[in-house]
Amino acid sequence: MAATFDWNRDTGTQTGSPAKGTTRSTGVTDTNWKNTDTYGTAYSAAPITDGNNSYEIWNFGKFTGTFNTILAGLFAHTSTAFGTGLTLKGTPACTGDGDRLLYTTPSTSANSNLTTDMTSAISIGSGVAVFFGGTGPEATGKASSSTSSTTYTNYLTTQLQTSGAAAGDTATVTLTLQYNEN
Amino acid sequence: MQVFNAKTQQLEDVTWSVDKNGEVVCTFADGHFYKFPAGSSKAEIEEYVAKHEQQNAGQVVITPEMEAAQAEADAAAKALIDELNA
Repeated sequence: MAATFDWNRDTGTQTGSPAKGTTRSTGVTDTNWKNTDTYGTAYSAAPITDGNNSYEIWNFGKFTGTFNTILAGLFAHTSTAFGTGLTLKGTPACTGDGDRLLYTTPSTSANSNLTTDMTSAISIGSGVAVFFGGTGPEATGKASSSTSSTTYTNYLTTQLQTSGAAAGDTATVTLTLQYNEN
Repeated sequence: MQVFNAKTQQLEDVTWSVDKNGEVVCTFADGHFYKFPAGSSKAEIEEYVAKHEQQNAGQVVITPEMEAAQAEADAAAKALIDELNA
């Protein structure tokens, strides 16, 4: 048996403490940066005007199924370069429970908490560390491994920023979440 | 002030500007840029720049040339396997 992985996303106004999104979507199948926080809206219906930024995307991973431990998480942009005029900012490394990125209501303002430059494809081994926990991406108690039967990553948030970008779709890039399970 | 360019993994000179949203933008000679929140003070900018270097130093960048070489190697390996299985 093996763990079952599912991409999830929080959207909407921050609520609760620790804060999380008002809406939690499961079975997330795309990460399209756009000028809306609404998951179901096509990116073509909410384009980012050059000079502006996308709304942040608050993705996270969820593990269920049969496993003993989820550990050794890394997150990075691993394939295909963005064109000029685009900068992808992302979640900082999570190397302690206090490092986990805290949810804030998505907006198009440059998020200074997204300190990782994810514009270039890099080796996954040099990606940011990801922590795991059993309650939710927002919850305290994150560690480098988790044995909880339902396990979540910390928030793996990204925001696309533009300045002098060409019109049209961006390149399709690969963002990788790597982990071990046993 | 120089800023750490994650693409080149080195400190570089930048041009500072403010965009239409009031956000502070630093742009490298190669056109790569970073934005910082509107209304940031000089001290805050210095703090953002320091955190940025700390967070991004050590990235092993995969260039488009490296991706192309890997794709070529993968294709050659697949062709060999297809030949061996034929």
